[in-house]
Amino acid sequence: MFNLLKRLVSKKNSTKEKGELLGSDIQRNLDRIKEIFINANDIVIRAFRVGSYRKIKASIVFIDGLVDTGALNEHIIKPLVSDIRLTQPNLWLTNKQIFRLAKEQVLSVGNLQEVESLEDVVSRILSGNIVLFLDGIPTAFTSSLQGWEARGIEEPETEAVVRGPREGFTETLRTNTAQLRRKIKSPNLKFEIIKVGRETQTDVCVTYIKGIANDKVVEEVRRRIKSIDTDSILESGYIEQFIEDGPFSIFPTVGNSEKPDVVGGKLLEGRVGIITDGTPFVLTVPFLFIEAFQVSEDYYSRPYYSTLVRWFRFIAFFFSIFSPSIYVALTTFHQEMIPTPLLVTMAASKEGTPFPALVEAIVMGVIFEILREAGVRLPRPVGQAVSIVGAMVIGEAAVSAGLIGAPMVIVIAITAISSFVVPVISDAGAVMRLFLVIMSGFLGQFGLMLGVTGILTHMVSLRSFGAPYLSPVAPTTISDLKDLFIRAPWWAMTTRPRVIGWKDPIRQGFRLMPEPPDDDEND
Amino acid sequence: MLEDGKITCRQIIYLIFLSRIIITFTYLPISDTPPRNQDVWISELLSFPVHMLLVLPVYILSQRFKGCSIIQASEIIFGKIGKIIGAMYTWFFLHMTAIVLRQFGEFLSSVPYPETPIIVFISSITLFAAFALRNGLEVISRVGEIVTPIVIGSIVLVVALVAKDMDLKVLKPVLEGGFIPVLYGGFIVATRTTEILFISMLLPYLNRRKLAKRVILVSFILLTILAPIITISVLATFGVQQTLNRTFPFFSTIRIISVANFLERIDALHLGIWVLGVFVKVAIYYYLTVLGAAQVLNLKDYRSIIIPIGTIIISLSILIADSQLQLREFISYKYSLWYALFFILALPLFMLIVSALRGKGMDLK
Repeated sequence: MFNLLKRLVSKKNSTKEKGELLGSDIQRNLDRIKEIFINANDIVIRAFRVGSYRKIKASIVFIDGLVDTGALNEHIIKPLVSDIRLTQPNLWLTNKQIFRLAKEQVLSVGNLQEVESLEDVVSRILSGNIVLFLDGIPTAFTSSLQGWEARGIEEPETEAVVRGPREGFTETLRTNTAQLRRKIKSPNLKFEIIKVGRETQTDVCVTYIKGIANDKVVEEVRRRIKSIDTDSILESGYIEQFIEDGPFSIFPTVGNSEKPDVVGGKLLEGRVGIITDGTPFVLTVPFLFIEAFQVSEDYYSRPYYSTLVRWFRFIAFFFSIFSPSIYVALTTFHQEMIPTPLLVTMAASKEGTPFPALVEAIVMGVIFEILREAGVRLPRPVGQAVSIVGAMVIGEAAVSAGLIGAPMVIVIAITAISSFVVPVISDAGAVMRLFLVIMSGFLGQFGLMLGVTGILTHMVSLRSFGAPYLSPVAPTTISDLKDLFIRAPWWAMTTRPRVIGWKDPIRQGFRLMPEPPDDDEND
Repeated sequence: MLEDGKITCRQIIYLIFLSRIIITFTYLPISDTPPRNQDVWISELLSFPVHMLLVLPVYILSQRFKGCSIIQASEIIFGKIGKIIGAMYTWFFLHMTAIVLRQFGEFLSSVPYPETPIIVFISSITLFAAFALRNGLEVISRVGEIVTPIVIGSIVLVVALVAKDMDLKVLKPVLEGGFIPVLYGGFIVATRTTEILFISMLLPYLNRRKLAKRVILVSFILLTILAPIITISVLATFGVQQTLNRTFPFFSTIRIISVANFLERIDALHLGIWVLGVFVKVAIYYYLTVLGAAQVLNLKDYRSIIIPIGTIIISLSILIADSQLQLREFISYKYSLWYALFFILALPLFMLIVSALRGKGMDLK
């Protein structure tokens, strides 16, 4: 215990030691860097000399593979060793003069910064910048000539659309910020970088639109991200779990998307985005439950169809959560509710099956989850085999062998299909489904509704960065119902969601409905 | 503050409305009250002015002691002795919770689950209500905000679906027994509205206090519109005698719904909606009990007494009556009228007079 404390204290001290500055002696600086990067064989230290009469030592340090070597040769090394202003014969230049010349006239890169502390130098090198040392100068140049192999911009598989932009985020932070910037060409779109992870030193970028986003939420996001003290951030899921409001809740309180248009739309509603380097999934907060049902395409298609599809999504969600439990409740407790002809058929098909409906529902639910997991993980060709086996075994054999009643198979099939319609909360859905099946297995409709009240209570008690989770419904905001059960046409979407974008609630003019020109003007 | 949540105007309206109407969704308490004929729905209409009169003392009291519930106000007026009044109100809420639970359990254990002991229903719904209480007033009122539109919608739906079985002729002759019994009925209907006390308990947590008048008006207007609709639909479906004899009139009405030989026997749906509504009613009365107890005992946090009070409520709801008939006897107007009137009208009036005489109130906050 005491040792642990000691280690914690010493770790704190070591992170605080930012003070070490570069010296003017280049050899000493390079030795320090070599010492830090010992046994890291991807580090490259290229030494050369600058100047003609007085040749001073210079070195470039970078990590092989993270740097665009073509640009490095062309814009850094070549000018330094061959530029006429530095190499004309018998020119006597002091170290300082060379430094200034290089900075102002020779180095032909757009992004050139000066750093003075060793800590900064190391972190720049690690994030793919090159660092240039000149002898006799206690300052180093750094330039971001990052160039590594990266995936191109592709359409994300999880959020495919029929109508709408097809580009998705990539693993590179800079590409992602550029994609957002291309959507929102406003100086108010801010990107703030915070480094998280002691070992991984991952760049995490908080993005928001100043003037629209709530400053308190932005500050809270910053605070929560800064307070993460972990060794690694490999995916935005790590951050999600460190900053979410309901850590024990089954519901997600942080949203994510792979598409710039989706994230851009959310930023414009006043949300805050969190881009993590190394993953295409961008988090958005605050996340409301209703966002699970709002798909980007809703806003690109015409309103009637969008509204209809949104209703289908609600219905599918309802089916995916409730259909097994309703079936169990009906067949176990409330047989009188089933229409008589159907009841006779169902009784006939259940004849001879050994298990009660509750057990059937749980067994089938588990089998379905296993099949789904197998289908996701297995390589494509094998996946087909799994689905055939699943369909054969569960659809046909289990029924004809008399293990499971045929109606249950239908119920589980409806549940399975429906649960794919609203993918965002399908994981929460699986837990709710199990809970409700057990409740209704014990107490029928009463148990089912009791479970619903429990879930409702939990959901209304959730908050995501200050916004009530069920926001436009409870507490009710009349003006936000335009984007809840219906999707109003764009000319009617005058205001931003109130719990999120209250800082600048009006997003567009009021009388935008397209109409034919007045007759007077025509005359 | 014991409770640091704030609730909106709409949430209080929904709580008062839902809590008053939800028992009617199964039972029909009006069938016990005079005039006991086809004119009961007029009584319900007439209850509106009586409601307005009854609410006055409580409302004035809560305006006089801004930010104080009636329990805290009694302590300001009477000092230590005021605790007794506070304890009486806590008892009243406790008793109301127990009665609602018992009514709920009686229905469940007599119609849909005749073989399950009543304690299962009472204790399980109390447990879930306790979970809601842990999360505070905001959560209860938000659940109410979700449930109330569902309840209103299903009342309207049920009335629309039984419309073809209705015979409005049974409502004639109007005012058969004269006007006075009908007015008396209106008075009794209004005294059943123990939700008037919500105004004194919940107004301190209203986010915009200026809307207090609107809360009172809108909630009672809503009640005055929907309660007669339920009564008329039941009366017109079954006729007067049948209605008066039935234990669960509105439930029976739902049972006879039959549309196109397909949409029929939807009583499990009724059960579901009723559970949702009763859950909110139980939760809010239970909450007021706990809040009242915490205010009387000067606790800093009410969460520690949720479970103890819950167990008291469960046992009380079993103990208050030996049978359904006994329960019905108690909650019929003969006893409950004076019991409720004492808490709604007499005590607040008394407190108001004393506070006026002793000159307390206005300058306090």
